[in-house]
Amino acid sequence: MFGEKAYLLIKELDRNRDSLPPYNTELLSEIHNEVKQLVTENQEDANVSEQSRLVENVSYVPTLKIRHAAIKRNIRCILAYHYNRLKCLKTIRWQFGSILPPEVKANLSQAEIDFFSKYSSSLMQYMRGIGDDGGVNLAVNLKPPKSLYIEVRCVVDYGQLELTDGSALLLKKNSRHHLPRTECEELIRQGVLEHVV
Amino acid sequence: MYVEDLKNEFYEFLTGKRILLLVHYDIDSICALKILQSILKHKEVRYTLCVVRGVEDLKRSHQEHCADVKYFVLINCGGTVNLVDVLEPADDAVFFVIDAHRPTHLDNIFSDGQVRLLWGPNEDAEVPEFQAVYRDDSDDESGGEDEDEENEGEGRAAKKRRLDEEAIMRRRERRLWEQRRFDIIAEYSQYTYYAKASAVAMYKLAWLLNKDDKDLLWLAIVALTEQFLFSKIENTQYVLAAGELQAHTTRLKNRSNDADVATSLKISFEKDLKLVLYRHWCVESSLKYSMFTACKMKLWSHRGSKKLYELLADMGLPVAQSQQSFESMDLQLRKEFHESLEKLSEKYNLEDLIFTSFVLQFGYRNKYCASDIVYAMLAILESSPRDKPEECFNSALDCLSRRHKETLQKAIERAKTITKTLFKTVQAAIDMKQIITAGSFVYYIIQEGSLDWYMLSNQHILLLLAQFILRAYVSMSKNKKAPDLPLIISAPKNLELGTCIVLGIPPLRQLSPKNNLGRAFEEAAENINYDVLSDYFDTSYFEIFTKDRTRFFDALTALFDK
Repeated sequence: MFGEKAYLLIKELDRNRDSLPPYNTELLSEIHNEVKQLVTENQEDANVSEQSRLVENVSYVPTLKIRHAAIKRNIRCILAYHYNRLKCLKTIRWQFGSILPPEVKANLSQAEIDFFSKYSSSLMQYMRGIGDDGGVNLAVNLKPPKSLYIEVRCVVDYGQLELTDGSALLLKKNSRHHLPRTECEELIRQGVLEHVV
Repeated sequence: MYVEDLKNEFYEFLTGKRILLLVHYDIDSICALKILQSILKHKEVRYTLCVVRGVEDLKRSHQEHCADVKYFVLINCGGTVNLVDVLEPADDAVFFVIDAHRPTHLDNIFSDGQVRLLWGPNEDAEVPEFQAVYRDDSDDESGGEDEDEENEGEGRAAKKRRLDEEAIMRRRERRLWEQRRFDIIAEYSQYTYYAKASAVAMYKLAWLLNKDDKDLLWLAIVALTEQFLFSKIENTQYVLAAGELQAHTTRLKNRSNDADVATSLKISFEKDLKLVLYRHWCVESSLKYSMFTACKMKLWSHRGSKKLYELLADMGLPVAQSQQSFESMDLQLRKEFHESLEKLSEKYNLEDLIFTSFVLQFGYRNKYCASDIVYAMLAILESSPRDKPEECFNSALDCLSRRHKETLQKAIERAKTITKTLFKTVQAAIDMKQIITAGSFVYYIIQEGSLDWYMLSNQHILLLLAQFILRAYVSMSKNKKAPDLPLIISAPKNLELGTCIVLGIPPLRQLSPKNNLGRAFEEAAENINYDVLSDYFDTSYFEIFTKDRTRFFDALTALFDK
């Protein structure tokens, strides 16, 4: 049946909603071949129809219409596949930053890798431009933070921490502190500090 | 130096600064800390929290942070010790002290701005005059020189004689003044007692700033109830303070919000019973193991337990029901529980069973009275031998926030175990006659090998045990002088170092909780030339080596007999 392989492609994407499966080149080339075949068949039949209009009045218009619908369906599935993969890639950029982990990179096609680097660089250019003094890294908090200062608890023995105003802070295990959000976020991500609600 | 305008000189002063919070390891300071944290959130203050169990911890924490921090806030610690001497801080360091321990050290009161006490002079009783305690030494020398210049005309010998006489007079006067000063200081600091809870003072500050709400009020209530349950303040003081907090409760009641039971937080002022955790336990256990009922009805003896069943029968409570948990009793019996106990209190000698307290209700299932929370926090802070103090501190902070209900439930279970242990210890002590009279005081020693000794080596559980034992002893003893005897109790503290902790509590007849046994301990130690490791802020606790215990007790006996 026409369009079955395209359906398989979409099903594969649906099965892996949050992650990127490897770029399915064979399936895509099969669909590509199917489309090419349909197009050539359509062209022949269209020519025959055109020629026979004057002589025998043979019309293949319904067949042409069916094949055209199949072609359009295949193309639409391919476009949806590519578009959803790119959307996933954009979310990955916002979550992980501009360096791709190697497992993810293995699943991408060359064009997608190019897209990623170009997207990354235009995002960086934008973030550098807003806010004064070097730009704001928007990827840090996807939602606006509620307060300037947060209360944190130290989970491991870290030692001395240098604050932005120069003074030092001794981070012992199980000690509690109340610090500006900007100073703690890096350490919270590393797992040294824990945010206390 | 006293700071009375807390809003400007404390709260506004700390805006934008970097401070160190030194918090003592007890329930009142945890509540005060939570209130202070919630009001400091609105100011850009960077703070670090340190838990302090004694003077050594205080010194250590100060040492670790003094390079970077200039402003220290001490909660329930440091008021009774000479901060400038003990910590040797930098000249521009400032200490804000909010402490319920009294008497405040005189050097802290008369400090010129480095130590700032966050209460008014009316809360410190009988502070001696500045002239009586401090004297400018340079007065003597400059007086001598002036006289030298004035009387140049006189003959040398006559002048010298006169100068000698004056020097002798001055020295004698100096000695008399020092003697008087020693007496004044001794009289000022002989009694240790507690004043208003720090959490209540913090709550008043929050109210001044208009940032108070029911959560903070509940914390203040818990701190006040703790002082009452451990007999740190007198009954009248408790009633007055509870009255003030009740005024706040009525003010914060919000009729429209409270109608929605699922989300509202209700604090009500009710009459409550002096039974430990009775809402979360079964009636029979609660009646049997609570200090008040156990001592009045002598429930450790066989006759006592029969009396207990009589009481239950009189109340109309079937034995089967009384052994189930309180929540699963019949609704009718639960409602009548208070009144039936009240009616029978006279017959069974249980007056004073009722006292007024506060109950917190949130959601459909959660109803806790203030004493429940106090016992739960006590269980967290003092009954885990393996956890480090900071972890217990964090758990206690969690238990107060309503989000961690499981912590609270587990703590209540542990509190039940503690109560049972206390009862069993007292029962064993009375049955085996281990409470010994030494003439003018009574003492009890917990041996090292006994079960649960680690629980009893903590401050507040030991205090509860001491009160229990003293009441039990007085109720069992035929000695007419029993209510006048103070109790000294000793428990092993640190098995590796071989130390034990010694606590003295005043006799039962003395209604006021002012405790002069700390002074007695010091004098006894001086008499036998013993170097005491006294690390606690509350001077009625002492730490001595176990091998020296008998000598120490002998010295105490000699002292009391004098």
